[in-house]
Amino acid sequence: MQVVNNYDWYGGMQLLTFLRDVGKLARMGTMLNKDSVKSRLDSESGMSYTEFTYQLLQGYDFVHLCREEGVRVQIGGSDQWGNITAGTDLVRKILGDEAPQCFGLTFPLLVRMCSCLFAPCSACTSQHHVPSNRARGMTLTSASVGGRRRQEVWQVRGRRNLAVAGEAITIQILSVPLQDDGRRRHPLPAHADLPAAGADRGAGGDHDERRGQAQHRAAAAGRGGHALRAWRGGRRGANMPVACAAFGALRAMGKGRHSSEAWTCSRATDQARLCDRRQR
Amino acid sequence: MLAASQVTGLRDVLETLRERGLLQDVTSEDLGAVSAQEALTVYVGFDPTADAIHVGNLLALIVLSWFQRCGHQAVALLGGATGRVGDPSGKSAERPVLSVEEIEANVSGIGSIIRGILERNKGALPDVKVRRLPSKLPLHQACGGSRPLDQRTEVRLACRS
Repeated sequence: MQVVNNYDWYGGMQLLTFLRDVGKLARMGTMLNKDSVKSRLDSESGMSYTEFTYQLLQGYDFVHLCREEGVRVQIGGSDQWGNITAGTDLVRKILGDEAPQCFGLTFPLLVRMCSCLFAPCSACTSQHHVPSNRARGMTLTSASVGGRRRQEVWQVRGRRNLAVAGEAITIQILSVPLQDDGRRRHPLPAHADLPAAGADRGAGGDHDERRGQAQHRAAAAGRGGHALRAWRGGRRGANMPVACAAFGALRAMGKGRHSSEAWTCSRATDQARLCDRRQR
Repeated sequence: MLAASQVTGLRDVLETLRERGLLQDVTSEDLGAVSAQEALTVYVGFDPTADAIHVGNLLALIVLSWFQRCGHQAVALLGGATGRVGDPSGKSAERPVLSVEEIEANVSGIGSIIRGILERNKGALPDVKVRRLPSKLPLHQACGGSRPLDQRTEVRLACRS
């Protein structure tokens, strides 16, 4: 597992070097044919030369990583297909026969059930109502926002949900960026917001113990400064109490660059059932 | 707890992703056979548009972690340079230009988050082979842990039941 920053190889690169080594090998026709370019050229706002260059920069990333790190596969969302194939093309052209066979792979995009395309971070701020057909999607439920539980329904485009038959997914994501002034965007849940213990029925185990451990873990992770603090698989939507407990711990710490928010993500049907139980 | 056949190393990634509806396109179907034979290094790029990852990155991390689970190496690329340019993909208008300070803060924020997730996931490798579990068994028992919050269940992204 490695984290790299492409500024490390672009920061010191001369424009002329880029034009000679990369630009020479890129064909205008191919570049203009990318969806990301075509759609923008047809629009009123058009496209800057800077953004037009983007595909070559991302493409050359692949060349660099292939040569220096032996990377052979690039993955990305389906909207990245053009940039990814720009990469596999450049690998072939620049590295030639030395290059191992390289691959590009895309996954479907995550979209809201109301089918507006995901916009980064607006999920944290916008109030999206939960569509009535939530049984078809994957429900992301925030532990609590301002004392009220907030839900959004997402789906992997063209597919009912992430899980294969008979599988349950529960993921907790604890992440909320702070505002510029360091305040949290949302008030965090108080312990009073914890759902009834009965909601945890699906997972089995001792609730107090689970919560206690979650608090401990979250506090430890919080000290390390990770915004995305807990990530654990489980059964049904049953980890909400654990998520809430983790929150309480983070909230009590009240420091660090990120505040916390817990989301659980589960198969929609299970989540719906869980919500029903809470309402009763 | 695991049968020997379930603890073998490399697996065909394409098959796994396809089964889960996580595959849209691939440049060559050879990837399936190659991934079952040799350990590959795989990368995914993250735009430093904010100082934390967002829900749209969820699938990238899931797919990347499936590669890890199938025995491959993961590289996360942070777009410290490309963030200065802006990816036009999927955008109907020019992206706002972020200041250099913002980009650098975002790179370090996202970097530490992703490192945390994938490192944790890597640690779980010997234990994350996909298994069919008896549907009635509580998860922690099914996964071989003696306690509900066993270390091994803690890091699992998804578990079949």
